[in-house]
Amino acid sequence: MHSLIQLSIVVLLLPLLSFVILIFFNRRLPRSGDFLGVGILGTAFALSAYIFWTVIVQTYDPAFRIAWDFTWIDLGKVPGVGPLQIKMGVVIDNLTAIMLAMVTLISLLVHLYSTGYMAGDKNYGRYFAFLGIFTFSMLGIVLSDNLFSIYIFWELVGLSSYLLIGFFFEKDSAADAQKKAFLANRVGDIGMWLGILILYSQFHTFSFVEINANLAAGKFALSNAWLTAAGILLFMGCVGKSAQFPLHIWLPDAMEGPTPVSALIHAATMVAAGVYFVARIFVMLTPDALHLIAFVGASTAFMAATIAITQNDIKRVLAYSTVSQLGYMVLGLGVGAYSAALFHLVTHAFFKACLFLGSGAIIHAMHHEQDMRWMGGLRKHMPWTFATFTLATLALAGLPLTSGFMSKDAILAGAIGFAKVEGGGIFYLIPVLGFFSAMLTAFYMGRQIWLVFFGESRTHLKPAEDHHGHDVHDAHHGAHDDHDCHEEHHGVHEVSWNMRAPLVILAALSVFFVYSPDPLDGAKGWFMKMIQTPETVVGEASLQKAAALRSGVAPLIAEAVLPPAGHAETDSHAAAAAPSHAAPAGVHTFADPRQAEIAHAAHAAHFPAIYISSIMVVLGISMAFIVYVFRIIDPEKTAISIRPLYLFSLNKWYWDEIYEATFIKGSIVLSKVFAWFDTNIVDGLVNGVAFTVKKFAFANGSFDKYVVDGLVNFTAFSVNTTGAVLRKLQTGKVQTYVVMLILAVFGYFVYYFTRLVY
Amino acid sequence: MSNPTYTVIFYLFAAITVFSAAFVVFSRNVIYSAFSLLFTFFGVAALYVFLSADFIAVTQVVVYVGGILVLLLFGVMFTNSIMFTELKTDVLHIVPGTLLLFGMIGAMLYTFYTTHGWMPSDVTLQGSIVERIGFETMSRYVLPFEMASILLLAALIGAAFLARFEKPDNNE
Amino acid sequence: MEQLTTIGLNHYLTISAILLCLGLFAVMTRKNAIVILMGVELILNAANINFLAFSKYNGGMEGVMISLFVIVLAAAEAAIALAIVINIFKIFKSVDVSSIDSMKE
Repeated sequence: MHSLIQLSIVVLLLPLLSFVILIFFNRRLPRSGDFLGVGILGTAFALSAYIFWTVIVQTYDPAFRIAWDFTWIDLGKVPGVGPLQIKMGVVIDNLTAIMLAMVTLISLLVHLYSTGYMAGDKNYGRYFAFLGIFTFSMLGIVLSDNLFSIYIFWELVGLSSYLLIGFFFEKDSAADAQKKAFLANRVGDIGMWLGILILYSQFHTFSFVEINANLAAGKFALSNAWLTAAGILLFMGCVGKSAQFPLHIWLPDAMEGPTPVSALIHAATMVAAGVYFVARIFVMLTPDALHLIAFVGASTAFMAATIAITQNDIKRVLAYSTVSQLGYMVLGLGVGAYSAALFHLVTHAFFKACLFLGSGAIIHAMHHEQDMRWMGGLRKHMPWTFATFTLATLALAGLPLTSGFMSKDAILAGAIGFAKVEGGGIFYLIPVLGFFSAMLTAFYMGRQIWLVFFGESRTHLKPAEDHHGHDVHDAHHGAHDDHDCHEEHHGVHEVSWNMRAPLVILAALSVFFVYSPDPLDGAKGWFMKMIQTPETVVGEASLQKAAALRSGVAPLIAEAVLPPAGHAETDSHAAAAAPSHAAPAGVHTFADPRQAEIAHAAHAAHFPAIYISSIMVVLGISMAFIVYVFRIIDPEKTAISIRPLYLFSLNKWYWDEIYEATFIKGSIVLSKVFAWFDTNIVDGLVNGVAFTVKKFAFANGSFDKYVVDGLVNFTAFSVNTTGAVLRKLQTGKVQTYVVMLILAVFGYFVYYFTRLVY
Repeated sequence: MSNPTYTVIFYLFAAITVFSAAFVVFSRNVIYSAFSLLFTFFGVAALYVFLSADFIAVTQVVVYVGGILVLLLFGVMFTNSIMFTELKTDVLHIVPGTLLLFGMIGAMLYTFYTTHGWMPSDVTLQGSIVERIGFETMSRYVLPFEMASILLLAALIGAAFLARFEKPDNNE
Repeated sequence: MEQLTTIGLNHYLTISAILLCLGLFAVMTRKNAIVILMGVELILNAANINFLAFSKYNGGMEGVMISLFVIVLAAAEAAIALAIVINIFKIFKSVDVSSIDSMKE
C-alpha cells in the first residue's frame, strides 16, 4: 500500500475518532472537548496538507493517480446476478488531494470558529461531535474509488447534515428544515441509486475505473437512451445534494442550522459533494445527459440569483447565492468545462465559507439579528469582518483580481464555446442566463454590503413584535442573554481572534495569486493544469462500438469498419478543430471530436467571456450603487411599481407553494385514495376472509367444545366418579386394609371351595 | 395316642388356650387382655410339650411370658394413664370382623377336615429333642442362627433408638 | 368318637386355626395398638403350633428350628413394635390406630 493511501485513511478516520470520543465523553472532558475536535481536525489538516504537497507540488503530474482497494463483502455467485463482490477502496489523484486539503482546511477553520460562535451552547460538545462525523463522511466521498462506497458516504453526509441542520431542534423551524433537507436529499438519492444499479446490472462492478473501461470498450448492452438515463439518474443525486432546481428548496431552509454549519455544509463541502460526484462520473455522461445538466445548472443559477435580490435575511441571501453558484458549477460540468467547474467549486468553497463565517460574525455581534433591514453601519464597528466580507463579496461577484473571477470566467467561456459548438439556438440560452446571473450576483451582493456595513444603524427601526420573536430564538443561546437586545449598537463589537482568524485565512484564499499568476486567465494557474478535463468514455467511437455489439456484428469486423466511418462522419467537424488542437499551450487534446471542439471553442471564447462578464459585473455593482447608495431609484417604489415580479422573487418563485400544492397535496390525495382503497377494498377482503375464518372457527370450536371436550370430560367424569367411589376405600386406617386383606383371603377360600364342588 | 388321661389333659390345655385367647380378643380392658394372654402362652407352651417340643415350650415360657408379655404390659402402662382413664379399648369393624372370624374358622376347619391328604410319617418325633436342636443349630442352621443374633442386635439398637427419651431443649 | 379321643394332627390344626382367627379378629377390630400387638402374637403362636405339629408328624427337625426362629423374630418384633407404639403415643397422644390417619389423601 502506498504511504499516501495509508495517510489518507488516517485522515479519513481521524474525524470519526473525534466523533466517537466527543459523542460519548463530551460531558466528562474539560470545555466539552472542543480542543479535542479542533486538535484532531488540525492533525487531519496537517496530514492532508502533506498529501497535497506531495501530490500537487512535488509530483505536479496531471495524470497522477494511485488507488488501493480490498474486497469488503464477497457474496460469491448470486443466482440471477453473477459474481457479486463489493469492494471498498481509496483513490488519490489531483482532485482528491485538492478536495482533501480543502475539506479539512474549511472544517478546521469552522471548528476553530465554532469555539467562539457556539460558546455557551448547552449541547456544545455534541455539536463538535456532529462536525466530526460530517467531516468523516465528506472525506469518505472524496476518497471513494467506487460508486458503492460513495453512496454509503453520501447517505452518511445526508445523515450528518440532518443532525447539524436540526441542531437547535427545540425550534420547530429547525426541525422542519432538517426534515425537509433530508426528504429532498432522499428524492435525489433514490435516483442516484437507480443509476448505480443500471451501471451495475451491466458491468457487475461498482468501481469507476472498471466501469469507465467497460464503457470505453462499448460493452454497454442496452441502448444509448439507457446510458443517458443512467447519467441523469446519477445526476439526480447531485440535484438533491447540491440543491439544484427542482430540489433546491431545502438549502435556504437549512439556514436554521448554526451559521458555522452553514459555512461548512451549505457553502463549502456537502453541496460541493454533488458537484464532485458529477465530476467523478463526468466521463460516463452522454451528450444528451450533459445538455440536461447544463440546462438545470443554468436555470438554477438564474432562478436563485433572482430570488436572492429580494431576500432580507442575511443568511438567506447567501443561501440563494450558494444555490446560484452551485448552478454555475453544474452548468460548467454540463457544458464540458470540467476543470473550470471544479475550479469554481474550490474557489467558491473558500469565499462562500468566508461570507458565511462573516455573516455569522455579524449575527453574533448583532445578538442574533439576521434581518439586513435592521443592520447598517457595521463597517466602523467590525473592520476585520468588513474587510474580509468585502473581499469575499468581490470574489463572489467575480471582479478581476479575485479567484471567483477566474473560475466563473472559465465556466462562462466554456458555456459560450459549448453554445457555439452545439449550433446556437436554444443553447445560447445557457451563456445568456449565466451572464445575467453574474450581473444579478453583483447586484445583490452590492446590496448586501451596503445594507449591512454602510449607512446608519437601523436597529431602532425594527418593529417591536419582531424583536420579541427573535428573543425566543435567542433562548437557545443562553450565554448571550446577559446582553440586552434592545440596546443600541453599544454591544456591537469585533469578534474575538478565534472567529477572526478563519475569516482572514479564507479571505486570503480568495485572491487570484493563490491559484494563478495571471489574474485574467485561470488556465495558466496550477489548478487548471492539474485538473484537466478527462477523456469521455461515451464518445461517439465507443457509442458506435456499443451499437455494433448490440446489433450483432462481430466485434472484430466492427473494429475494422467503424473507426474510418466514425472518422469520416466527424471529419467535417474536426476540420476546424483538428489544427487548433495543439495550438494553444496547456489545452489538452481530445480524441473525442465533440470534446475537442468544445475545448477549443471555450479557449477561443476566453476573452469575450472576460469582457462580457466584467461588463455585467460592473453593471450589477453600479445598479446596486444607483439603487442603494445614491438612491436615484428608490427600491421601495420600484418594488411597488413592479409588484408582481417583486413578490414572485420575494416568495422564491413560489416553489414551496407549488410543491405544497402539487407533491404534498398530491401525496395527501393519493394517500387518501389509498386509504379509501385500504379501508373499503383491502379491509373488506380481509374482513371477509376474517368473517369466513371466524365462522369456520366457531363451527370448529363447537365441535371441539361439545364432541371432543365432551369425550374428554366424560372420561374425566367417569374416572372422577370411580375415584370418588374408590377413595372411600382409602380410609387411611390400617385396620380397614387388614379387613380387606382377610376378605381377599376369604374370597380365595370361597373360590377354592367352588372349584372343589364343581 | 389313645391314652384317655393324655386326651383329657390335651383338651384341658386346648380349652385354656382357646378361651384365654378369646378373652384376650374380646375383653374391653387392656390389662385383662394382657393377663389373659399369659394363660394363652402357657397353654400354647403345654401344647408344645404335647408336640414333643419341650425345648420350644421352655423357650416359649421364658421368652413370651418373661419377655414379650412384660414388654406388652410396660407398653400398656406407658401409653395409658392408668390412674385417670379406664383401660378400655374400643372396637372397629365389628360386623365384618365377626363375620370374617367365623367365616375363616369355618373355612379352615372345613378344609382341614375334608382334606384327606395328611399322611403322617412312620417315624414321629418322640421324647426330648434338645440334643437334636443343639446339633441342628450348630450344623444346618448355623447361618440362620447367626443371622438371628444379628437381627436381635439390630432390633435392640433400633428399639433403643426409637424409644429413647428426647429432651425438648437440644443441648448436646 | 374315635377321632375325638385320639389326638391327631387335626386337633392341633384346629387350635391353630382358632388362634389365628382370633388374632386376626383382634388386629381387625381393636383400636388399641397394644391389643393389636397381642393379636399379632396370637397369630405367631398359631403359626408355631402348626410348624411344630407338622414337624412332629413328619419326624423332621425343620419345623422345630423354624419355630425357634419365629420366637426370636417375635421377640424382636415386639421390641420394635412397642418402641413404635410409644413414639406414636408421644406424637399423637393416643394409641388409637383409627385416629392415626394423617397420611390419608
